[in-house]
Amino acid sequence: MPEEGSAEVFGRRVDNRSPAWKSDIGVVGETHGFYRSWTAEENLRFLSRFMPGWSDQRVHRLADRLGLPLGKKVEQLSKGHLAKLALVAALGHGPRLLLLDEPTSGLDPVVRAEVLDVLWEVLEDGEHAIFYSTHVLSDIARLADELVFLREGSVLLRSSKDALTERWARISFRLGEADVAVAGAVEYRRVRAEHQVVSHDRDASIAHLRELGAEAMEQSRMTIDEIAVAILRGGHHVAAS
Amino acid sequence: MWRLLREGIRFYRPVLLASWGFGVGIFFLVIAIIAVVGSVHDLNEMIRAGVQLPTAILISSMIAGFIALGTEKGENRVRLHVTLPIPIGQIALARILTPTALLLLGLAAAHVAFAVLFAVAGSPAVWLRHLTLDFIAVQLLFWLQVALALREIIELRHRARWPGALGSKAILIGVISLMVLIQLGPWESVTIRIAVSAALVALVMAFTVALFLRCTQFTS
Repeated sequence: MPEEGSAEVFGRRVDNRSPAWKSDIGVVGETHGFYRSWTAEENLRFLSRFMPGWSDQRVHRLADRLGLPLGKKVEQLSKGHLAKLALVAALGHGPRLLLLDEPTSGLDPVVRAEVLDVLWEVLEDGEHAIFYSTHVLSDIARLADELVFLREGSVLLRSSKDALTERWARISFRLGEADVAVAGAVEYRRVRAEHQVVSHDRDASIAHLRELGAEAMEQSRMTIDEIAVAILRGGHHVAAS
Repeated sequence: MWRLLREGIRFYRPVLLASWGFGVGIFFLVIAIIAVVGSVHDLNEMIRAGVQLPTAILISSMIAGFIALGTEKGENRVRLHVTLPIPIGQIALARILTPTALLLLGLAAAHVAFAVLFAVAGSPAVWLRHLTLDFIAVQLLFWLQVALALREIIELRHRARWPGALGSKAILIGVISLMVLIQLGPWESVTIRIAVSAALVALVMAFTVALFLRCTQFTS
């Protein structure tokens, strides 16, 4: 994994010695670092003393919206409430960029939906961006505009979500009892004369199959989860294409 | 940094007070047991034994310091602090100063207890022990800081291989050896011993800060 390099956030150089750039960022991760024997409210008050632009009004509105018990000690909070507290804490100072690292990991579907609803509302005004790192792709199916697939620290593929769902498809067809190489195919299966491919370039694959004389062609859209699995299996082959 | 330090002290204040309570409680329990089953019967002897009370306060403050170190690690506090718009150097300083502050509060309380005991006992011999108390405090602080430095070295070993952390280990072993020399050496002046010990504490603190500043991962 790279441990060196430089980055800029909203035109400001990322530098731990002069960290004003952190004011524009809210972070939610799997681990939180909250003071466990303080209440949620005390933890938020602690953060408010350091974060310029902190709004108690915003915090209380969000806490009410998520049903977060502010008077409870952090050590008594459930995993779901802890995730909500982390989200409220990250949004308290109105950051323009939210960095989320598996924020819904281990949460039940109801809490996960609540958290995703709040994130959706954050994105709605068009002035905020979310950088969301997750293995649960259904989380981002609704939120994401741009997807980056990583494996072992390397970028496999970067694409807009719409382009991905538009271009990727599962195509089944009938064509003799021998394997065929189909343009754009990432995965290929055959049972006798029934063939199925996963294509990362639907148009190219269909055009090629027509040339080959394939019959009974049927194509279906793929979900982000399915596409991700295919990309991660296909690895660099897909990224390079 | 000061705000971070103040918040840290505020968080660990109940721990410090509870430690003092336990320390003083256990101390009086021991005195009571000695009075009942031992040879210390008259009041003057009890008071003479009582002058050890400030030491109990100091030791319990050091325990509070160790609890703070463990809690900061266990609750992954750095993870929260690095998200704040505070320079990393100030976070590093606050980390080493929080347990230090708890011990120094203990030292202040120990001196007050000493003064009270001095007023009660009225013995000049008690007054001379103020410097001894400072010497004990600086020794305890040293071991507290060594624990913190050791943790940073362990973190370093997670990132670097054994030889990479060898220099850091050598420095720490060297400083510990110097401290042992100060404790066992022939110097009679307590003031000199305190000054040299304090310099070693400052060295360990600077070493810990330097190791922390080299850290690039704060998620574990």
